[in-house]
Amino acid sequence: MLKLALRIRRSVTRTLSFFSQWMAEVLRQPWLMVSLVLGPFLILLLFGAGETVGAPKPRTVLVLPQGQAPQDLLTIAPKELSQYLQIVATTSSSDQAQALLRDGKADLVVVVPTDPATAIGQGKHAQIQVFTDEIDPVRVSYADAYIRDQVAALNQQAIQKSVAGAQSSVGDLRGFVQQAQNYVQLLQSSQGDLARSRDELHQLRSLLDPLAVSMDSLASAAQNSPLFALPGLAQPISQLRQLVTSIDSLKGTVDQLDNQLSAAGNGSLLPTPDDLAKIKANLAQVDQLASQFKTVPADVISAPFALSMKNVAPFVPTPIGFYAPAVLALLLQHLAVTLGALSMVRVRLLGLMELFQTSPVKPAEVATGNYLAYGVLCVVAGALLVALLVLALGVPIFGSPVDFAGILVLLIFCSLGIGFVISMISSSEQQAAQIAMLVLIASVFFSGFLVSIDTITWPVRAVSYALPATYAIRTLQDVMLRGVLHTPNDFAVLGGVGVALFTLTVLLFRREFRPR
Amino acid sequence: MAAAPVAELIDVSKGFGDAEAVRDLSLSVRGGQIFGLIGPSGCGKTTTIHLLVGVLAPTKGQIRVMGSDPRRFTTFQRERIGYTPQGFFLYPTLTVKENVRFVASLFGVGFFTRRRRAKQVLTFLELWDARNRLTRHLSGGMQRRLELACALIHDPTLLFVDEPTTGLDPVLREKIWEYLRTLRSQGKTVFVTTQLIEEIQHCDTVAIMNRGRLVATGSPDALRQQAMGGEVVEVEADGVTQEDLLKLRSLPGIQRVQWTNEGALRVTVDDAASATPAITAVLQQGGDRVAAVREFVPSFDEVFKQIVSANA
Repeated sequence: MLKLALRIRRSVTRTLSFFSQWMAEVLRQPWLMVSLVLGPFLILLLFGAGETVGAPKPRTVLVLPQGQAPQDLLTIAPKELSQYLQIVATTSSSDQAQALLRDGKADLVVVVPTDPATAIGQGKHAQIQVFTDEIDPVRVSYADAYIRDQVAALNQQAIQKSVAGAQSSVGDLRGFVQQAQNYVQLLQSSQGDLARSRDELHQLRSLLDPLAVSMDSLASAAQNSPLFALPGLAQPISQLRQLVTSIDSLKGTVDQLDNQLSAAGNGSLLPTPDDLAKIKANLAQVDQLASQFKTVPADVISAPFALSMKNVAPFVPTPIGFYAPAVLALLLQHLAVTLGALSMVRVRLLGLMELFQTSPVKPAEVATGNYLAYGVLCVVAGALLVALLVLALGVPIFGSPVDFAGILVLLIFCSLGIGFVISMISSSEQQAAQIAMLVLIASVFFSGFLVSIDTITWPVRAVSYALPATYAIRTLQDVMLRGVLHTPNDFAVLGGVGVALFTLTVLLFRREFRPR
Repeated sequence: MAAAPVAELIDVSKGFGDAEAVRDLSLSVRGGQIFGLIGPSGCGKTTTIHLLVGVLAPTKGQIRVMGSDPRRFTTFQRERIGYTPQGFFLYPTLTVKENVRFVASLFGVGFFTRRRRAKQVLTFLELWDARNRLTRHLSGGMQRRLELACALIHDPTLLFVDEPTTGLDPVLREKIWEYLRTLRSQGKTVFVTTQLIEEIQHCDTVAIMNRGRLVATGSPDALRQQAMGGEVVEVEADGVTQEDLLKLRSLPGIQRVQWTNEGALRVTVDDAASATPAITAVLQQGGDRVAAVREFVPSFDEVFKQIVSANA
């Protein structure tokens, strides 16, 4: 028993030797700690101060037909336009605009069509041409999306104008109906005067024909428009169709009466009160339907869907606040990977490996001791960095502190494993530093820091899932900014990967210790 | 019955690719002595020491150190062995004391023992006053002593020291050997390598290596005799004739008689003490004037050259 206790004590002593040695070295270099903590913090601070996050504003030259101002053609006000585009020049010369683009003085040239009305009248699209000299795919996509949005707005404006015209026609229709009702009233009061009755009836009939033609064309236009096929527009369309049917029905009734009067030649077949009541009812129906059709405003018919977005996230951080968890994860991963990567290379270069080989220290003790030494350093650096983020930059931690600390410790554990493996396979400090840098670059691209990993396709996405930062970034964002833990499995993944890397590190140490 | 050797190599070879650094090496190191492995740079000394401490595995042959194959040393056996590699291997950003304590803890030495031992060892090696100096600020001699301190911190019984005096001035070299002799007097076995031939004199047993092979082994005196073929008597005399030389060669125990470039006679004999009076008598009988007769002690450089050329 005593022997076992002695063996355990000696093993602990050997393991802690690396911790004491490393702490002595770090404490001797206070600036190392300062640079480890303050460096990343200042980077984050500068990043926040720069505040460049957001949509890019391409410098745009508008080519307008002679004498037109941009607001005449674009549906948005110049103030709103400046939120998305930076209009650097307006010209009527396409060549001049192209020259500005070639000289790098503009990012976009938008050529507005000279006579859109004629083109549309001829059944053609009025083309809005856009030229760009952009090599940044993000900015190209943004410009493309923005211009498409503007063209859609123009199209919507055109439809609105058409609908407003139709509604105005319907307004005229109500005047006609009023007039027709007067004629029916006169017809009713003609009291057996056949000539007067026919005259009134003809007057009424003459009103109905242009009305029917106008409503017919409006109805067929509506029927063919894809916009009117949308379910939300079913009611006005059906109203329009009913209106056309009602006018047709009214026409039929009037024609029938006219025929009866022509055939009779005497007063015996004058319109009966029922006939007149039917016409009156038809007219009332037309009036009612016309009134209903006008109730839906033209801008609603032309743009039936309006955007109303509500963010239900408990907290919307500033750009610096949003990026803080990712930056924290990336920096801690890089710190741990780099320290681990350089550790054993340094030992080998100093010639200490021979000492380890000839001493009673075991590979698992070397691995544990180094994990402990570098791990504590990373935890201290991480804690100071978090304190600065919270206290100086106001980045919140809404979630459980245990979850928060747990994910950081696991991230460091995994990253040190990667570092030690790099260290064991590298033959020089330069090689180790290069590989550590590659891990950082891969993390910037694949961990969800720059782009969401959902946008990365398989099998490339496997790289994302091979990086500890991927799990740490999404968990830290959830825990810090949402106060929830959506992916508790990330703990298990990081823990599992960390243990696997620790085992691999021990095996690599064992190989290194083996006599050659 | 003689005690079992502390370390032993039997017909050991070690190759690196096509090159063979050590060939058919057989050595036996007895306890409580300074065993010197001597030879020119690149002759296989460091490879041999690496084989003995278990850093390298032999391509052929058998190695036993404290009764075990170094590749399978137990923790306990490792705790009894001290090793100082050839190059400086400690942390330059730690102080003398911190480096010594670090190595002590690597060997499982407890907190309080480590402090006590550090003071003892650093005092013994005259480094206590420099205990708080950063290692990178130490002179070459101090660095070598610090390495020795690290090898001694856990109080080993068997010490392997690879070229401890290389690059040091004669005063410091002498100091290092003084420490090694003190360790021997404490009952420790010291296996030391050097390429400075003159340092043979500090060893109890010497093995001379050349091009990966063992060319001679024995005490310094035995090696000297082996190199010269016996003891050498040097005679300064006038009027020595060819007849005198023939008479000298016919004396019992005389191996060889030859002239030196300085005009003296060098007579190789089995035993200088008994041969000197007879040599003097023969020359005086021949009427020669004998100015001086003395035992000639060849330098170890000369011994080394003789042995190496004899085995070339």
